[in-house]
Amino acid sequence: MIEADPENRAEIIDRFIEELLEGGDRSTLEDYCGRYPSMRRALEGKFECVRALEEGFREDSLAGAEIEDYLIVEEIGRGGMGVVYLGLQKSLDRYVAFKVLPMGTMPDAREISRFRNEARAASRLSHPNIVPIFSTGEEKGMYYIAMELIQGIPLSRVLERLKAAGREPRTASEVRDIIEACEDLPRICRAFGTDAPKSAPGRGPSLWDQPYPAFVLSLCSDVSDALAYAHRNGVCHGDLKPSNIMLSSGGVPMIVDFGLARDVRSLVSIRSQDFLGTLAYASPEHLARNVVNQKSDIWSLGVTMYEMITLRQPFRTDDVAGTIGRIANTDPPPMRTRSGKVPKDAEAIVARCLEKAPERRYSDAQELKEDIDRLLAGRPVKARPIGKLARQLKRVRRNPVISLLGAALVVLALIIPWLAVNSAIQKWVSMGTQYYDEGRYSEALGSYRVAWDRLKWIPFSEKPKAEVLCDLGNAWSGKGEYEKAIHSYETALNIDPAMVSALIGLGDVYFEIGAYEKSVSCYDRVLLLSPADRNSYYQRGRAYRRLGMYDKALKDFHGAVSLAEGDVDTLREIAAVLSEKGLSTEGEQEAYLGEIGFTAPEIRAILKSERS
Amino acid sequence: MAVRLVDSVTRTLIRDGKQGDANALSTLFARYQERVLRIVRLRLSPSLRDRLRLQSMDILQETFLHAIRKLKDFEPTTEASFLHWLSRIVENVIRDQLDYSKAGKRDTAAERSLDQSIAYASGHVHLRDVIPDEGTSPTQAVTRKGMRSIVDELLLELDEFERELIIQRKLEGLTFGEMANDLGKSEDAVRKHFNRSFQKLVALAEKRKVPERLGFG
Repeated sequence: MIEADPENRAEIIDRFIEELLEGGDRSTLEDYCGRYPSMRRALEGKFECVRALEEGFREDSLAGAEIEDYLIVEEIGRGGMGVVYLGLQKSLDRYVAFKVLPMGTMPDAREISRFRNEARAASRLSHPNIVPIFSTGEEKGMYYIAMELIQGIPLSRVLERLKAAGREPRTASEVRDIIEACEDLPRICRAFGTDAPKSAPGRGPSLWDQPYPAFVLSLCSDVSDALAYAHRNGVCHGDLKPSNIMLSSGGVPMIVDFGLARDVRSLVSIRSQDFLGTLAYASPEHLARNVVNQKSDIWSLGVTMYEMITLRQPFRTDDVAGTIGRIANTDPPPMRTRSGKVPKDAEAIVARCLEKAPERRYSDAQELKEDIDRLLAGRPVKARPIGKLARQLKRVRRNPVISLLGAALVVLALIIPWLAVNSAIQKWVSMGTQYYDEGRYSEALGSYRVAWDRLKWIPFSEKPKAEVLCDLGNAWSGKGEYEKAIHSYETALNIDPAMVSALIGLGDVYFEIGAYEKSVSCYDRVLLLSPADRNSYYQRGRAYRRLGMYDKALKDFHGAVSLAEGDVDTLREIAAVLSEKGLSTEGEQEAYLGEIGFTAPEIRAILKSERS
Repeated sequence: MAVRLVDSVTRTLIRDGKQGDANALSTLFARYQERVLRIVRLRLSPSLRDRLRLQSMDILQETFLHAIRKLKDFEPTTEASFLHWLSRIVENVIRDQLDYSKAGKRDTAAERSLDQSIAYASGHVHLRDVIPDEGTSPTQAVTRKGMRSIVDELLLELDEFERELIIQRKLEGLTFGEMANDLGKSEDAVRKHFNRSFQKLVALAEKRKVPERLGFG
């Protein structure tokens, strides 16, 4: 291994930057880090700087470029999922929307092949409310999708303008005015001396005379029809939100970007601002288990409907953890409290889309569409209108103890028998916990199972159920019955995807059985929900160490140490990493720890503990 | 860095512009105004930069069209050479207009710009008519404009020659050969000096925590 003296280090860094300027990329970084491991931190810092600078220098880099059959004319939009250009397909002499996916969203070969498959599946879809894909391809590591150019603007732009106006529009005609004002395609085309492509046939002039809520509902009916069609063809969207729904100047909603954002991790890696924008529409199961399917598309459409009608997002808070918490645990404020004109049945439809448990949502998008159509036709809908009583019940179901006082008078009759059972169950649970604390896992298991057998029949008790399931998981885990433990934890997480104790339990079990990657992803989720959890840093670091990812391990141990100074277990793990990396002299160890970000006093403490 | 040829749209616009097609010229202006303005702004001294900010957009457009009319004997082949040529001319015209020390040379545009600045100070000019200043706020930092202006802040901390090298290479996209030609130095010297300037820029970026501000890393 080559270790560099300070003068040498400066030279190495200069050479590294020069190579990046000559077109080097992440592999250059890895190459240098491999050769000079102790300089990794410094090299990574420079790499990020060069990347940020290049981004600041980048002008409309593609405008004017020719890529295969396409001539790139002008940038027309930009978002989390890439940059959209006005393109000209030369062979057919037609305008297209040319979308270039952002670099870095395709981290590995598996992702790339998934992108190809998804794009192929999506390009087979043919529906009046889905933007048709003409072709997809890649050139020099850049992935692109050429699709029909829609004359119109994304719903997100409509929403921005409506929110800025600060009041709900009376009729849809105000939306039409926004589209006309914002749409810049005709302007661009005029500048190039061509006519804008003829817009698709609209939905008739009477469309714009509708009251605004009815207009929104009719849009959502079309969108759910498109979703139903795509789902029948085995494609789900995975990232449905207003910026992915174009509203044509004829008033036709059209969905773009089917199946592009599947993996919630790929969303996290995008800049945090974009992530919040995307997160607000993600379903509980998408966030908790990285699952997207028909039901999660229905959820996302529910969020979109809520926002279109009330001009507010139902779950959004200012930070990631708060938003996730609300998505997982809190019912959105009733739309009628935010907007006076919401029909009761519309409230019911949206609420049914936003049920936390997927199985309680509409069974498919077709059912949703039919319900919206019934509402628009003035017939009774299938979704049950939610009255004050039902709302209280829902809250009680999720949060029995806290809601009790508020709901006491209203639902007293319902609750009394429940309370009686509840106290018996509580006894079994606390007995189990006592056994568990004494290490008597079989007895603990017995008590918890009695509690579970009684609890599982009781309605409105999701949270206690999740807690008992988690206790069961702990007891199974204590007995070394890991498969059963995993099953219990996962059932608990199905009920409450943001249940930290179950996530921790599951992470520990995965660690025990050597499934380190799964273990890491459990702690990832814990730390997203509870960023100061020392133990999870420690555990994730241990898992990384087993995976041979020493830098990440040490970063986590650093996190653990800074949350609990002088923790012996963590110090021991750090020492193990240093020895596994073959750093035997104190000088080497000190340099490496410094690269990772340990402070001088921390390093001294580590080296001291290692000596003893 | 791949050499980017002038694309066919730009070529057509230049051809039509030379023949006096006003539409083609204003489209060309729309295509390049932002990039040229950025380059010019970086080349001006701080006091002229401040004065530029108070100019009306109309004046910039006039200047720009004036420059393009000079395209008679120039047939750009690469986008970089076109950009370099255009921004130099725009810069010179703007410098002439802004430079109050050139007594007696004040033309009507400069008179007007003075009027403009008075009107601006007294609130009679709509802000949107005035050349935008690319200031940044945290929310802006994630937009492209914000990214550019954060990088421009750093560029202004370099010395003039270092900045010029980076403008030519990174913003105009000239080759080292073209740069050597323009600067009257050997290609090798230009390359070395450019690398050093860029390394300095990286160090500045690190010091000012640019990746974090732009949401990288």
